[in-house]
Amino acid sequence: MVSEGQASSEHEPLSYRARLVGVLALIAVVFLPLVRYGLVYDDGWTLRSNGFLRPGQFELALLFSPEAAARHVPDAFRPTLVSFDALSVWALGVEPWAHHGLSILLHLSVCGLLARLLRRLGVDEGSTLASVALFGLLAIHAEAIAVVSFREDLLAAALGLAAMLAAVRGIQTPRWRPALGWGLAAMGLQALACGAKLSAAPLPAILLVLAWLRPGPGCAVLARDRTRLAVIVGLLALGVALALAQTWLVHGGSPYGPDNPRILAQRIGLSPVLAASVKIHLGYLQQILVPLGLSPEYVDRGAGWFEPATMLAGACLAALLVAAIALRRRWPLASFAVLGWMLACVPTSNLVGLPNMRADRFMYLPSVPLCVALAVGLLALGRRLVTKLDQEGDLDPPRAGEDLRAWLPLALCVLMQGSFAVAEARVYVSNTTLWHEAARRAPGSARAHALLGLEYSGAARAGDHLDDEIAAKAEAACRTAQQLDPLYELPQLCLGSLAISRKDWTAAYEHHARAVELSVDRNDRPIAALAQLALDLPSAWLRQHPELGDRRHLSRSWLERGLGAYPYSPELHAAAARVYHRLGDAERAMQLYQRARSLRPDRWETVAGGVELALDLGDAAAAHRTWWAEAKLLERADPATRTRLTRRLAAARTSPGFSLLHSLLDPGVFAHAP
Amino acid sequence: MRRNKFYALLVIAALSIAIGGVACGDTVEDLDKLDETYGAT
Repeated sequence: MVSEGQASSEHEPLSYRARLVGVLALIAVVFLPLVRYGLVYDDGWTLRSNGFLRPGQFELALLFSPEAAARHVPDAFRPTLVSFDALSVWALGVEPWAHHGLSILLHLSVCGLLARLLRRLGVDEGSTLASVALFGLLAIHAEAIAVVSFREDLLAAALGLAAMLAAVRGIQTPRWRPALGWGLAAMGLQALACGAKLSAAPLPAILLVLAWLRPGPGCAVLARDRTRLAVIVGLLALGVALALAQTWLVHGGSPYGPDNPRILAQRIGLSPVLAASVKIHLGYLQQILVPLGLSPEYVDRGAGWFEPATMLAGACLAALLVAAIALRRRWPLASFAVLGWMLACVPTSNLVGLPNMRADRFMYLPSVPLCVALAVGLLALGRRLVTKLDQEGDLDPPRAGEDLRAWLPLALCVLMQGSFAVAEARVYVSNTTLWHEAARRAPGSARAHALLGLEYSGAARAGDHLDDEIAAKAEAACRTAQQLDPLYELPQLCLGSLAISRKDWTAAYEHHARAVELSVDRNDRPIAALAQLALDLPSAWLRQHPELGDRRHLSRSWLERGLGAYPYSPELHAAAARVYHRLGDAERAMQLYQRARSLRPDRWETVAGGVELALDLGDAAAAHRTWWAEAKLLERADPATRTRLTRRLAAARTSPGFSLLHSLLDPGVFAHAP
Repeated sequence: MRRNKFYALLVIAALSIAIGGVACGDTVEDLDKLDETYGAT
């Protein structure tokens, strides 16, 4: 039986806070399936195989010196992101579910901060909730939320919105002293936001546009004291400058290097890239409003300024800009949405070269003003429709804020966006799905075909058996990628990996060497492959290349080059350990296995290598201790390795010198590893 | 808005999005054979 108190609480109107929590809970539930997804795309490079993030390796000071670039620390020009990643790896390890959960939490934080900012700017409760619901479930955000390494966009947005909140507080506070405190907080938060990703850099300019257009009832106060506004905007700009200074300190200019061939503008010039960028931005607008054509991959292409599509797109964007300025008094919110979106697009507009001309994740922060205007517009449309329907039906006018019918247009839009977001997020469930979809949706992308080919070639071999059908699929994908871009390193890596599966060491060596020649970064794994392949090169081939020297010299020279340039690569250190192991330098091999283990403790190959080395050295006690201590990790080893180790350990136990007690008390191969 | 009505709407919205998500997508999910891949950018 329901008590009277319970019944009355069920019929009490819900507070704004409770409704906001409800909307955030809906967003969380919609994205909750992501926790079962894997680590994809760049997650391996930035998180799983990034030894710099491991306890004992991370040094904050390094991120403010050119040494960070020299040591190839991934994303060294994003110190906030790298520090956040290090903290998350320390707290959560590299479990995919935990990092996906963290991305969802970051997205919810962005939604919560957006609600706080809108309320501070005087936006009413209904419009705030509508804006949060639309932004939180916008389909174009699927990539940024579903791929762990793209949380740079979420982090920059969260810190950027926090900086905006602090800046608005600073302007609204009547006294100068606390205002300056808020201003300094805004500066710090803005520096951190830009340290996560420079997508937050236009926020000071957006604050100025907000004060100019005054789209909300609380915005008038922003322009009341122009000196105050100038000081706060100046402090925010200082925050941006601090982040840019860090990038300059580390890279001495562009983080992607001055002659990076992966930046299309370096190959074909800036003008065709900007012409294509005009079309791209009209495409973004369409994808935000109607989420069709979203993709994990787009092909970088130039365009001509006089092509009909470019001219049409340019005319549309120019018309939007003119309309936004001309109608700023009549529709200040719509004007702000257009100008705010355009300003927020500047960092990813290809004015400064980027390795990807287009990506769905680039629209994470720029979509904020559009979502607010769209949500408010749909609510207004709903109210107008309800009034019209009631007038036609000769009914009483609706009670303000209580008629659910007024929310119908917005609800339909949110449900449509949420449905597409869920569908789009599924692309990122695994690398195989991701690159399969990428090649399907962007058939002109060399990267998509090459990475699909790499997935296939890895799957083609199981132990000594090569699946010819999968190998043929891998070859087709690699060749397509090579035809699409003959100067790209990934097709070479794809062909090299396939040659390894086919045990064609000469072809594997040649393709990997070509990949290193073409690539400007991320050469640690090709170098690891080259150092190992050098030991297996046929004598006849080596005689034709006397400049390479003998196998041992060639292998060591690759390792010397790689270990100097990539001191945080666990795969390279493990490969170097295997090479020294094969060359009979046990001490060096053990050092390298231990270093590889400290850079990536979750890698079973390193542990298996250490156990084998201990057995070769006759240290059965250390081998057994490590085998037992790492039993859970070694369960993931391939059956051939497990069988070989089990047999060798069993043989070691038959030795007269073997002692079970001694083995149990032995510290093991990785005694000092975390 | 009343509490019960609000909760019911949230549940309906979540279910609608889940069903809509199935209807809008044509992705065939495939699990990875490998846990290590080259980066993309």
